[in-house]
Amino acid sequence: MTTVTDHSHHGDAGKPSVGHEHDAHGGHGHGDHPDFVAHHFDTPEQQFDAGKLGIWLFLVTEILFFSGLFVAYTIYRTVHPEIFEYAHQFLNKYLGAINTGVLLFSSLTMAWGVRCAQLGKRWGLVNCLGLTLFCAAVFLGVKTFEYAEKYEKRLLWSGSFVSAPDLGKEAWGGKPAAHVLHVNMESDHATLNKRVEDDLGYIMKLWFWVLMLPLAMMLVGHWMNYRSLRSTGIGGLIAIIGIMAGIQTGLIIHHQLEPHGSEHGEVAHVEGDAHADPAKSGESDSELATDKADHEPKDAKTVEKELVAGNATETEIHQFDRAEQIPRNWSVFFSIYYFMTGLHAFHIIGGMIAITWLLVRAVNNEFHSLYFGPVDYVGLYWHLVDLIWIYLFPLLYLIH
Amino acid sequence: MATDISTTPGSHTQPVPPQTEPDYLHVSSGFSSWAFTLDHKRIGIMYLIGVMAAFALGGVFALILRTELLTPGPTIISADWYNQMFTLHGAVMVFLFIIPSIPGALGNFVVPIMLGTKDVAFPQMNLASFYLWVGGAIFFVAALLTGGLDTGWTFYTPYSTTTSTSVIAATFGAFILGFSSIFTGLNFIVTVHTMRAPGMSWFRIPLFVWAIYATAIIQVLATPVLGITLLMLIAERALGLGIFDPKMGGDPVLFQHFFWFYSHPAVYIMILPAMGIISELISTYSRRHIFGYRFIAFSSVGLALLGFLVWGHHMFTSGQSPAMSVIFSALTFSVAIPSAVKVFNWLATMYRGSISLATPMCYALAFLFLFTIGGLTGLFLGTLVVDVPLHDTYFVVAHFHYVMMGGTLIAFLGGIFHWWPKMTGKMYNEFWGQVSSVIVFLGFNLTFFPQFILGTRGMPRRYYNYVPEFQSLHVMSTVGAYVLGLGLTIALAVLIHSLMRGKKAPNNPWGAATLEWQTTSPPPLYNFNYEPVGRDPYALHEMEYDASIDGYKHNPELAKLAPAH
Amino acid sequence: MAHSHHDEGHGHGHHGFAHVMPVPLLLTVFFVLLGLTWVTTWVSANVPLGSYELIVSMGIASVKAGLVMAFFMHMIHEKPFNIAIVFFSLVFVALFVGFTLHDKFEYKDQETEAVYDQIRLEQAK
Repeated sequence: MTTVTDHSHHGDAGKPSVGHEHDAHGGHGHGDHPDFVAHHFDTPEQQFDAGKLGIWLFLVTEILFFSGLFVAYTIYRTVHPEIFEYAHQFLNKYLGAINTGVLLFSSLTMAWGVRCAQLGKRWGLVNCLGLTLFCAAVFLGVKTFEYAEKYEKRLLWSGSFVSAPDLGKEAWGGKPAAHVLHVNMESDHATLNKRVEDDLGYIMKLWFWVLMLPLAMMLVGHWMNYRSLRSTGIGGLIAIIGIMAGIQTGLIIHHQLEPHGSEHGEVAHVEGDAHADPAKSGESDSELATDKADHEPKDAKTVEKELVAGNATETEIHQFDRAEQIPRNWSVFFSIYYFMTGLHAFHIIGGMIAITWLLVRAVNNEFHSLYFGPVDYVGLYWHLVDLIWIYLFPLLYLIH
Repeated sequence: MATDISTTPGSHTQPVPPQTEPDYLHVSSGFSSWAFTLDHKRIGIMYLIGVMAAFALGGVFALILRTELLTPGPTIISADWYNQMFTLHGAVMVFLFIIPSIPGALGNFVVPIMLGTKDVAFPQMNLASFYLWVGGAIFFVAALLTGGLDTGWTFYTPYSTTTSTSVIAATFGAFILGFSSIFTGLNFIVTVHTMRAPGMSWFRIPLFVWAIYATAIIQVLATPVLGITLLMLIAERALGLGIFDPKMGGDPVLFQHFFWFYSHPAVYIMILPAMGIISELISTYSRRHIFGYRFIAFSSVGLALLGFLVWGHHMFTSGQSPAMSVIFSALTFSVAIPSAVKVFNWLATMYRGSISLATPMCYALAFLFLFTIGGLTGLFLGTLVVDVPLHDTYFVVAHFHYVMMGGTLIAFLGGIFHWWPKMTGKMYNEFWGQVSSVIVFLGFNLTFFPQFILGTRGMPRRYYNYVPEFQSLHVMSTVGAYVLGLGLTIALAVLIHSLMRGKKAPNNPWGAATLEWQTTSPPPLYNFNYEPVGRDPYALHEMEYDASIDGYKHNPELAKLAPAH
Repeated sequence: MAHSHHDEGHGHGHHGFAHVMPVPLLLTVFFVLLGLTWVTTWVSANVPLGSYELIVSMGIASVKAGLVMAFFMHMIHEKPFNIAIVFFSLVFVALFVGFTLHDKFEYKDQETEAVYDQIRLEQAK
């Protein structure tokens, strides 16, 4: 058995190479260097440690990357708290909470998947990864509804809804600006939901056709006895089915929740008192609209008409906003909202790609107790994405 | 305990002369053997060529700028073109040259060999880092060709969100380059932590590696913030976010906080690797053990961390609150301490050394002179009350050129001449190398010293025009720039000449004791033909000159004779 | 550190350098996280906390984050150095937020004044 001179006469020896110690056991039956260990590493453990340190450093860069947005949020909120008090009520906190739960569950399945990989449980790992993908798709499905709804109401980032001179006559499909729409909030939920569902149905159809690819790979791989092709097919199949099921579930969740849980109507209500309890829901939108008409003089109504017609001047708009106690620049809330959640969603998609890759390798039975690093690393990344959402949820949906 | 390391008897490793396998340059050939290589040495060479091309581009911009400033008013280009030239000069030099130069080219080549390992921890990521650099460079060139860029390299809002030039292409390029830099840094941290050879304890790591390690810490911690800043800038410009827009209740000063949170530490990304090179050069060419090894090592890490505490000194006059300016000014002085620790340790290393004025040492001495001037004038600018009149004058321009060019570029050149025989296996012409260093040194001072005077007299930076009283100093500066250009051209000619006519390099032409000089020149694919073992990287007295190979060899007998320090 | 795989061959049921999390622990953590999510949503909807709201919801979020990091991300078994780098990254985030926010506070009032001035100007029109 070969060990390494560690030159202890100099006092401080470095990390001794453990390569030969391990190989002396010949434990893998792969000879000198098992093929799951890259050529420049001596042992599986060295490879694992390097990967682990690498992924932690990568997470550090992610933390600092997102920190910029948290700083922007903090600064803007400190200077203009009224915007956040006012605008956060356009977000549905119950949808947010459900999405938080979904992500937490995906974290659980991911952690469980790491456990399975460590124990070399092939199908356990495959199931866990499939479930994680499913959750990711549910999350994105619900998010799609949220975005689509805001898009319908033109609750977009500042640049797209307060282009000052054009206020009131937004270029987007001739729709009036959100300034106006949010006061007549009877915007038709049924039509909106129908449209989003149609869009998602279309996406589902697309996915269905995408499904053909792994199916073909699986069959060809099976016939030709080409193992890795078959594994890729099976992995892809599971991934796509998980994603499709996730989108469907997102649809169902939205169905169950949206008509009752919507809080948008309250806005008009809360305007009078910024600290009013936002949870008071239940009144229908039309009720609120009449409520508004009663308690606001005609002045605002006239301006509103002008706004809709696109004739209002900037000063009139500001006067309107002041009369309604709408804080100036409240659209910046949506700038921050879209930026933060959009970047987060982008990370979810990146994670889904990585998990699909793992799924294929898991089907191919590549992971075992000495080589489970990739599952662990993607898992850590996935938990970080979850962590960021854990903070985004209260910051955007809850705090007022 | 221990028995042996298979091939090498005794406790000290000998280079194994008979080379059976081909070196890394000849192990394979063809375009794809380079384009898809995972070998850190080849990636380093590709980086070297890339950053040198970027430097040439930025240098041409600089010469155009200096020629324009030869006379007041229009000389060769219009004012608009002038704005674009200084912006692109700055952006190309900072993002495409200085930041990736030493870590990407020399670091990639040398660090794994110095640590006695086969490769960096993540070779694929290393290659990806190079291609991201290429991608970023393409975006920069695209910005240049599609409307240029006239914001200055700092992309300050609100101008950058309103100008009609290609800000998005350039910032996206910088965003990509940021990832390239992160990949390099991440790789080095993991390599240093997990890939060291047996016996290579933390305090046997060469100081260049310590410096690269400290740099990597900054790259990993600061660069993501640049990434998000640039994304926000792109979104601000393309979509109108409002976070930096005062009309929307946003704050342009916030952009400067974001930008300098990265970009001040980035200054240390630029200078720390240079300091690492100087530590190697001073010790090797003074033929003395480095003085104060641990002080130099810790001062690198100290600089890296302190670099995060001082970003506000770029914002003394741009609307930052007075209280913060005072705090940042006070913190800025602390940076002087680790910098001075290094300089004094280098001087102490040279004291009573047997100094040889080889080309790399000439550059190292130039560095000592120029960096000290650059560093001390930095203290002037860090002083709040002095900065107010000097801010945005040529004094600032001269200061950061003394640090970045007089520091980083000079050290980079010194490093290239030092490691050139190892990289290429060829010796260069010593005389012309020395000549190049002298011309570069004189040209540099002639270019930038007058700018200190211009600055104190009130010449603002980035101005196209100036009063006739300033002309003589501007002419001196421009002539200096030509001399500098000449010196750099000679240096390049020396290197290219060596490729064609240079005689074969011995394994260890300088008598250095770090591991890369113990392997062959150029090294084999996996760096060593034997199992390397870490030992004191500055035990120069153990190196013995062997006239038969015109190089040095390790003699374990000497270790017993001479004192370690 | 100890190389635990010395006395274990490669095979199922054995784990080399892996720290395997027991399933009951994972499940418990998950349900606690779910409960905390419910609590923070319920509190936000039903309890007017005023200025404490920020502290409460951020506190709950941090507890959740801590749980995820400790158990799902295996931090309780992690090498001290890896924990330290995450900790350091948070220190640098704090530095970033702290300095920037402190600066903003210094001139926040002036800025608000300017906004009011602008509004007054518009009203005068």
